[in-house]
Amino acid sequence: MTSVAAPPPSSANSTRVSTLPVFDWWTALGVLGVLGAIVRIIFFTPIEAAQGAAQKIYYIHVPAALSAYLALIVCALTSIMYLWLREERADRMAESAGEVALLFTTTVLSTGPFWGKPIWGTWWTWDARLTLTLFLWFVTAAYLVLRGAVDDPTMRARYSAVLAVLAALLIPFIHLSVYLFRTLHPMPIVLKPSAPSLPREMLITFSISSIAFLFFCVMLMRSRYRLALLRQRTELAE
Amino acid sequence: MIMQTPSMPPDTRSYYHAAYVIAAALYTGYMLSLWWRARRLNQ
Repeated sequence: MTSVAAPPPSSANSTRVSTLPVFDWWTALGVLGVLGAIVRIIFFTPIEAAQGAAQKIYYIHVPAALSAYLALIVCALTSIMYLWLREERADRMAESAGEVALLFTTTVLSTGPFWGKPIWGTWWTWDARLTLTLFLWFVTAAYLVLRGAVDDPTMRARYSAVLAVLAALLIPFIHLSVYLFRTLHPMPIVLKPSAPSLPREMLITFSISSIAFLFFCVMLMRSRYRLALLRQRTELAE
Repeated sequence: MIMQTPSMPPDTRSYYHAAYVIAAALYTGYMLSLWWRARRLNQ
């Protein structure tokens, strides 16, 4: 069995890790990007005639879903990498991406009902897309609970890696659920084989917001990875 | 004679504002938790 215990840090490495900040200018850039997108959404994007201002929830709801997908895919790929190479850095990255995936899935599930209530007339419905997303939230939460429950680092990394791969398998089902089942959830209006159905100004806002949120997601995973590195450094020092 | 007035979008601003406040709270809360955990490790 390959051990995943980290080698004792060299003095140069330990100095570098102990002074590693969790946030840096890249994080600030990620936050500024999201703030810029929100300024564009609030002040420079027209209000949709049929739905009113609630339609603007779309510009944070869908990018949050895309970011959750991205974080889960990173979590699954680094988990596969761990299972294959037994590389501790891959496990650390999977842990970081899993936590960020839970954050964005929570955002998706929290913002969606505020659109559903005025448009559908209900906060929640057991529609296939919503139910599968809630199921994904539970699986992602279970992934993090499992990580906290297993003390042995090798077993923890191996069990959670398997769960991460299974969680990522839900993504295509969630995306295609609106085609596979009769659902209340709207069909994709941008991420579909044909041309996007959004007016140009709204499409530009959606694109800016998606890029900003995906970048912010990557920066959060990076910050969380740095925290994991800092924690490992502290544990080795104790 | 029936006068047609241009239709106004429905007033759904409260839902829009609430969704943005919740999203902002989640992201800010998560970033604060990262900062707090790092601070605890550094102490």
